Amino acid sequence: MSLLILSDVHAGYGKMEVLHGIDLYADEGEIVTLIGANGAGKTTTLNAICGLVRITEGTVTFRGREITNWPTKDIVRLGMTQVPEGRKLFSELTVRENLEMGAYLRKDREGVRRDMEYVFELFPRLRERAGQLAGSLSGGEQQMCAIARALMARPQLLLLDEPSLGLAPLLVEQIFEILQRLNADGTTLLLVEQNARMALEIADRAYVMETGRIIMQGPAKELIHDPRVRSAYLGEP
Amino acid sequence: MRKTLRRSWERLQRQNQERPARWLGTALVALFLFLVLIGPFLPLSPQYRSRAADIFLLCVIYSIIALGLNSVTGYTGLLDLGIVAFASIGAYTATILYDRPWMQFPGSFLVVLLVGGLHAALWGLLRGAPTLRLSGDYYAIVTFAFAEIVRIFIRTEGWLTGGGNGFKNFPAINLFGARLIEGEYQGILKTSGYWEYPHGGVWHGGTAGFYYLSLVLLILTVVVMYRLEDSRTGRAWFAMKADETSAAACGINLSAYKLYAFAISAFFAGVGGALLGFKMNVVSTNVFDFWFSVVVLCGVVLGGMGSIPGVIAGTFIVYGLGELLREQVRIGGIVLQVDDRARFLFFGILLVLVMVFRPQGLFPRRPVEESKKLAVEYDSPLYRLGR
Ligand SMILES: Nc1ncnc2c1ncn2[C@@H]1O[C@H](COP(=O)(O)OP(=O)(O)OP(=O)(O)O)[C@@H](O)[C@H]1O
Ligand SMILES: [Mg+2]
Repeated sequence: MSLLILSDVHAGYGKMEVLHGIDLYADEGEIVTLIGANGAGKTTTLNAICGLVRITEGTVTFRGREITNWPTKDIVRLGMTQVPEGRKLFSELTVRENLEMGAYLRKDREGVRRDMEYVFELFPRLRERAGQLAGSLSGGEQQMCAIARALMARPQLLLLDEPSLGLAPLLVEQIFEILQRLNADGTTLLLVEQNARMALEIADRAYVMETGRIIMQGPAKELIHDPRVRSAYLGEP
Repeated sequence: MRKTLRRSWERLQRQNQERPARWLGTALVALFLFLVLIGPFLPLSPQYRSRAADIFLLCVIYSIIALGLNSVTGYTGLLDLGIVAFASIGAYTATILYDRPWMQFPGSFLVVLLVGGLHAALWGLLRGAPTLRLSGDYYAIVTFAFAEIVRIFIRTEGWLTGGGNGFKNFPAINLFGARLIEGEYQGILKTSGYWEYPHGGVWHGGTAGFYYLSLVLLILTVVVMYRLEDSRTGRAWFAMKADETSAAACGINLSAYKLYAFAISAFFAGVGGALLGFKMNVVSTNVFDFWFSVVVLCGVVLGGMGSIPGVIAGTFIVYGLGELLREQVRIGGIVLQVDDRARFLFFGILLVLVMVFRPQGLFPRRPVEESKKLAVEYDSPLYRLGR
């Protein structure tokens, strides 16, 4: 059974429905990417999965349990974390404190200490800045910190909302390499990206979203050659 | 606590090595603390001594209220324009209770202060529960409206609250036999508008005992606030303040921690309000009005939201200045005095200046520049991971 299954999920804000029936799954160990134009509903999908947007119809199943509209903290406890769009660090806390906040629900001190080492190894820059207020980091450093913070929860499934947003190309490469390494270390990733080419290159499978519906899906290697994807999302004729 | 102190001491030393001029700041802080400590016994003429003690006491009590406000506005980032509601609930509860015949036992004064605070905390929860999802302006409007509801309730329910006149002239107040407040003013009203008292250290009917009780309560408040700030709770508050989505994604129970902040805030405002009522010897909606909230908030913003020393410093500046502006200045034959309402003008100017030149407040919790310069690692309160 898949790690995460969305079946016919409808959700929205107030009376306005934004998601009109999303079907999607992620198997353990996969990188699944969700691409689509601005306003397609990608962020809304991620937020609906982790309980931040109310689901009006349909179900979300995670690790064999139905978690539709669970409180976020319980979903986090079950092993799913999100790196929200636009970083959203705790600006008045230091980098180290931000990372600790990621591990808020964990009780195993030793494990937390080890994972802190692990993320410092992934992002050496963060170690240098451990005592600095997160609000004073550069954009790229903030993105690293946001990913690292999510990792501190030691999630089985990591939801990433546009991790490459506003980063220099070199840094984007670096972030994507780290994502691949994370995946190799056993974390399943659901990756929302504007940078469709890079996302499709590292993903196993991909979904294409348009105005609240999944319009295409399949192995990433196939979608990357699909003429419609090429013209709409990869900017090629 | 010891760790916190040691850490700040080490930080201080490091800074002082870097910039010797810092010693001046340290000396000024020490002088300030010393003056507060000997507040009722300043070596001044009796008239000025009682006036100075009066101002210090006012600042001490308002600091408790301001720290209460700070635990919502400074820590969770929600703008509260109605702290007066909790101060007046505390004040009315305590004074009404203290008047009861069955409240006449040795420690009863502490009991009424505590009950005043708890009653305020209850209303903090009741106001907070329906507003958990509000933020920004909407939350601020609710706090303002709630304060007005409380004020109107007090004015109309005269059978309980004395209506528009409120309560005046409380009986003498004792705590375990020590006289805190003289029942009737025993001093002599001087033409200059000051009370002069036969025995030293007495002003407006309050004794040095009352001053030190208030000071001890302020110190307790500060200790509690430091402990909270440096705990899982404090971290959760700062996280929520920065971003609720991320905080939730870390597994923080937003509602629970918000309610906790509301209760803490209202409790300390209630205790401070009760002290203030007894201190002024009058509890009325003329004192506990909208401007009460504004001035307390002004002190918090001025000193630095979320910063404990900042909040206290800001409060002392605002109320100290406010009281000093009541003074008459004589130059030659001319008497200068600031109109009572015009004092707000000075707060406004002060606030604008601070916002322009030091937007984080005079003494921010963690100055950004400093954090960059001193990227030090230290023991973390959550997991004690450092070193
Ligand atoms: N808080 C909100 N309240 C009301 N409508 C919203 C809210 N957030 C998003 N929407 C609407 O929902 C739709 C989908 O938004 P969403 O943020 O999910 O898009 P997205 O695919 O993540 O876009 P982008 O690539 O620009 O981040 C949009 O039409 C947007 O206007
Ligand atoms: Mg989005």
